[in-house]
Amino acid sequence: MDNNKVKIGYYEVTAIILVLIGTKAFTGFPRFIVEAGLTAGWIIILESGLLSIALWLLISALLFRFPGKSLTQINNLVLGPAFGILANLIFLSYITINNSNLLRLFSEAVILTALPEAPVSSLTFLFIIPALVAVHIGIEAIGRSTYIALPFIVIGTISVLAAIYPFMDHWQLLPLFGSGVGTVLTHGLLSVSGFSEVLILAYFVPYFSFDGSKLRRLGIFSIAVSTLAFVLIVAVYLMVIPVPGAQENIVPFYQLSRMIYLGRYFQRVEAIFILFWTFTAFLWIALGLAVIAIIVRDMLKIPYYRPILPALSTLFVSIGLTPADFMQSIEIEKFILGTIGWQFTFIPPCVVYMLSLLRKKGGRVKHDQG
Amino acid sequence: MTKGRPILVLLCLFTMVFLSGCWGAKEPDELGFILYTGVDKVEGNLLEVTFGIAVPQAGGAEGKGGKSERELEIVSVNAASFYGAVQLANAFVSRDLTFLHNRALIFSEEVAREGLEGYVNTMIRSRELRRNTFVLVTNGKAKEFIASNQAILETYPYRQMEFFLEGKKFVGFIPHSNLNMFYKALKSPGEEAITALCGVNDGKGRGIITDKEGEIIQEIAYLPGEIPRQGGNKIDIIGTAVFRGDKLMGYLNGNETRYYQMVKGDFQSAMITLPDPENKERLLVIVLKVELGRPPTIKVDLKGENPRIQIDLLLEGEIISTQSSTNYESGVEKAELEQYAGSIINNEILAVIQKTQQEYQSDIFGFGDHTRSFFWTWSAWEQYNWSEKYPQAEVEAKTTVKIRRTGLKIRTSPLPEVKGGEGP
Amino acid sequence: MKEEKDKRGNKAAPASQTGLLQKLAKTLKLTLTYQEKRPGESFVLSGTNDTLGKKENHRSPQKTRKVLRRIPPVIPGKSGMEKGDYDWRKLRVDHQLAVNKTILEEIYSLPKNKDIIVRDFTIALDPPLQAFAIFVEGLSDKEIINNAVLKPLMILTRLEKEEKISDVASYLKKRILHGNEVEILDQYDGVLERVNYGGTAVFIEGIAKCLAIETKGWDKRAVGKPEVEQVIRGPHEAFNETLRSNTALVRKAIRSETLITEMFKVGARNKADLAIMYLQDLANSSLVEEVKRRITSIQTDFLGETGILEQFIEDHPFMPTPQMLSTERPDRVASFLIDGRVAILIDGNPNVLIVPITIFSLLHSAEDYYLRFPYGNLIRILRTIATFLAIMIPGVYVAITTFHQEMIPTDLVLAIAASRETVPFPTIFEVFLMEFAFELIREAGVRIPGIFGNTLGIVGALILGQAAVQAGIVSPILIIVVAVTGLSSLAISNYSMSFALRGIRFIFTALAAVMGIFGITTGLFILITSLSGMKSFGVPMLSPIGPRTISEPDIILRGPIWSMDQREDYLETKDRPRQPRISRGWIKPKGKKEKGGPNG
Repeated sequence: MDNNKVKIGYYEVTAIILVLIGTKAFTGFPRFIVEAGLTAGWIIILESGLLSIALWLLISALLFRFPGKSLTQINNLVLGPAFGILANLIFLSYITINNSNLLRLFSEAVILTALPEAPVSSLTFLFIIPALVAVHIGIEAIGRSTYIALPFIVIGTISVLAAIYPFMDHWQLLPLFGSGVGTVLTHGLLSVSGFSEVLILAYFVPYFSFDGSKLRRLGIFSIAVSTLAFVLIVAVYLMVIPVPGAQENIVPFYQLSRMIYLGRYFQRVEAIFILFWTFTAFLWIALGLAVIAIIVRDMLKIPYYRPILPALSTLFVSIGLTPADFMQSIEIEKFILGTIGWQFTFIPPCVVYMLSLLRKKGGRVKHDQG
Repeated sequence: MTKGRPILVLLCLFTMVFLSGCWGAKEPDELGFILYTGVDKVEGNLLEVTFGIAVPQAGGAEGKGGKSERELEIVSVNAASFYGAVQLANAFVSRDLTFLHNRALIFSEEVAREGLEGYVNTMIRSRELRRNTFVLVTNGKAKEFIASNQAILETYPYRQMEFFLEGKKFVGFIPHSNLNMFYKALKSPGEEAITALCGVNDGKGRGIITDKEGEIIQEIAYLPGEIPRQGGNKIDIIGTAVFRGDKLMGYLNGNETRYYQMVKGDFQSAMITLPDPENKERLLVIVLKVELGRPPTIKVDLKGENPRIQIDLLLEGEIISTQSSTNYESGVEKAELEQYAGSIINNEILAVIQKTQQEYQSDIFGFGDHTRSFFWTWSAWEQYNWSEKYPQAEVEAKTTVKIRRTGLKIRTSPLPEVKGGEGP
Repeated sequence: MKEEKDKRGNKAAPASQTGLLQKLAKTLKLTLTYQEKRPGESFVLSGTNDTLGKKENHRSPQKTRKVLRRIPPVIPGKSGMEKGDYDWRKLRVDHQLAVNKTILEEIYSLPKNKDIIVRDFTIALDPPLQAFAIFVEGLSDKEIINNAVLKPLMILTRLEKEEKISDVASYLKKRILHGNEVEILDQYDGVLERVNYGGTAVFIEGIAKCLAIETKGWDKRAVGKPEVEQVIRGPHEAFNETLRSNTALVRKAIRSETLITEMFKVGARNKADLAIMYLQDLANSSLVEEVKRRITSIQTDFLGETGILEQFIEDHPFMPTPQMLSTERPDRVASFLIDGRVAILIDGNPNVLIVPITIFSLLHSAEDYYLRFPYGNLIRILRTIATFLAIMIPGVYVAITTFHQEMIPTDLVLAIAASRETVPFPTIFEVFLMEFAFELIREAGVRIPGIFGNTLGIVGALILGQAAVQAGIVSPILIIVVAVTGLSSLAISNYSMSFALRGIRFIFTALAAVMGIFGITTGLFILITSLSGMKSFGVPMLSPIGPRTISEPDIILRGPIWSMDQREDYLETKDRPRQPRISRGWIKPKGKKEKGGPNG
């Protein structure tokens, strides 16, 4: 690890995590939330956001016990080599499947919105090849372009939300507990995996060019900001396209941008929206590829990740193209995000934390002894 | 490796370019842009779909190709389904028909009475049609409407519908209606859908103004085709088509549409003609320009046996014209005029609500949305079944008119007595 | 038989093709079997303290060359040695005048070489000494030679008779030769260096030394107006082709003793003078060392242009954007030096290279700073928009006319459709045709002799604009698109950068033709990511926003001059503040002023 000089700054890491979490808003995520909570969708987001902050506090406590170590290494240290690899594999398989599926979703969404006659396989290639190039240039470069692109993405999103203000109807947010208090609370717990990308922070620890103690604040900040963004988007979505209809749209945000009509001269602008939306998709896929490459590298303890990139991208494409149709792919996304995601993401590090407390491993114990 | 990287980038770019070919690229001159689409029913359960296709040369750049006589090519096709008709139309329209720039969907009365759900679902799903396409119902045949619509002031026919439905907010008798609003109201348990109403006027419109007191304010109470007029474009866009569910129940005329919009809160401004309260015998009128002072306050109470709806409306007015020499600009007269206008408008509003309650049983005002706060969950609210309760609801309305401005005149002084004036 | 022939033919003919294939294969192989870079190759500009000691070793090559070796004087004509067999440079000056003359005749191929003048004369000392002077015709100033070399040696020496002269050379230097720069040399390499650059060397009988007198003087261009980087407000002074006057122009702007000019020789055959200038108390020493390291490591025959040097020392030769800034304005160089950057000048070249540089400084112009804050920002905004337009407009036009017709207002889409009625080509072909025509006009405009300038205007405007439309080859709207693109790319102040944008534009147009807006996004993503991966002398090209560093308000827009109180963080300068936090001394806290005022 000594010859590895890759360092990512505080702002770049924040941008990376925000984009990783937030890109979901451009897929079917708002619809899943609305399906689960009806008019109370925003409560689900709020709840899972708060919950994931709590979980992040636990996980960052684990990271503080091993300063400067990534979660991969911590797993190995606490669980031993065999179980450590198993724990890493759990997250790795989760994120691989999730990323591949997102690759498919993005490709399908491009077909839906921009290139109706393109075959899906070529679009997956078109997504993965620039991502491959980007990761090859380096995670630093992607981090920087994420940081540069983030303001534009935020401005784009906010301007879409602001431009559909004339269509908003606040009554559509009532009844308050849409699908019932119990359902809303359950789904709030289940869809905590919507924020699971914050865990990637734990895998980036060795690359930070800043003080590791900012880690906790950074995670909380990212979760808080993306919670706010999700709540805003879901609420606006509900207000503009109210409940029974809100469950129908494949890409809610695209539908919102299609509705922009500010007089005769400012309408039909969704193609501009495609611009920043697909840019986000590119960033997401490139970041996903980079994250997986880094985890694999750390796990297998090989010195660099570039050689495994072609193999990983092939894996991405083949898993992504496995679902028979778009609907199946969406079902998978829904299943991952809304049902099982939390078991693969937040739970293992928490278990590792408990074990590290039990087995007395980690920095604090050493201090006590010394 | 630094040497290999740029080559790799180039390689990838070229691979991408050559991998793909041109997916779905179409030159604008290969496309036939449909501007209006009309749907009628014909014999044998077939649809007759009428397309108004823009002719590019008509409004195009000067020089090339010369100007065409027609601005719209109008074709009608009979087919079993909407898209079947689009496909069939390609048999005789050379260009690739597209709805990308479709401005208005026009349904005939017959189709609307059978129910629009099927069509609306089709159109919401479409990539090309967008949710802000205007939706209109014609009280005749959609085909006839599109055929007789001759844009007179516009070189570009596609601007016309936008001028009508977006620009005419100062008359109050053309409701805003697009696909999204229709769909939203259709799916919502607390609101019923409406569309704007249009029709053909062949210049034989009947007049219905009577000289009876009070009915003078019915001067715009027309449905399309009824306006007494000569010349101009042979279409009228006035009034509202009221739906219950997806089925057309009936129409509101221009006058009723105004009051509907006031309660709905969409009202922008309109000039209302009232009989002069002080000079009834001389049949003089006062014209007030009114606008909403603030969004209407609507309270729905579900505690009693029947729901109670309370509407509080504040209108702000400007005197546009008075014919008599009564000084309505200030003092007691002003207060009296405000009082008088308020009560007249209040009665009209109650009449419109009553009409929707009893005749159409359709809550087009969206009162049902105001009952949401009485329920905690969606299913509870849905089960309450507002649309069944609405006809029994008790409605109270309170309309306040405040005259804020008087135009350029602040005072009306009477004619001198020598000239036949009455004097104060 | 046939197959064999084909095979042989294939093998014999396309040598270059196989070369390319091999290259590709190698690239692919390198990609797959990746090897981490050797640590010495890359250069990261980091803090001053830690790298200072490490890089100190690099300075040695300059010194190690001066190993003196005593080489016995040989007379080449007699020994029968061929020229080129022996390195003349290491010879020492002989005490016999005839030997020196023979050697010089051999070196300069006299009398074949008519540029070299050898003047024999006698120094009027007691006893008179035979001597000769050698200089290059045209490079040296005859007036100076007559007045400062020949006249003193032949006449002035007679005026003052010294009793005893122990060291003739130093006596002549101290008392007789009143030229401003006189050196006593005993080796031929120094002699040749000076003679080749306009100096005059005087060899004297019986003394194994040579007097080199500075007599440079040739016809040169006066300091003129900038040709490329013109401004309305600000100095109208540009560099010319003489290194010394260029360095003087910079030094005139920065009158500081810490402004260092270090000289190097580059090009094995042309031996051009190269100067790097920096402020010793500002510029990061590891940066200076890196610049020196890169420059001294170059081994080539001819290096007479900063453009060539740029290609030798840049970090990413295949990337579209330049990684060095080339300017002809002394005021700009001065402001960059004050930032803590390094300037590279080469003799005979009016363009000065500035390193390191960021994309943003490539998009700035000198005038941005000379104008008041609002006006400066106005042109900054204009130029930023122009940058985007120059890259995107044709691509966006192609994308939305062929893929996203819904985006165009109905009026316009019908107008485009109508104007394309008679056009027999697809939009993308039209765009490429007109873009190509525009680039042709531009290129021709640079190369064309001034007399034909009018012709070009007529051909460009009339034939390509109006006639192409009337002939129905392109649509009129497209002419607007191409014209706006052309204007935008001309608004970019940096010549190299505008080249880069032109290249990128064609790629974007091609991508848009294939994939519409999605293609443009693809292009943008690759462009931004590869830009973020680029470095110019250890500084990331997109800093201070990618990576984000602390920066004064001067990235895309600029703040008021008094708010720029810190030097850029990414330059790691030795002295950070440019001016105190409150740089305008007259704006003082009110209370203080009242107390310290004349009344108080």
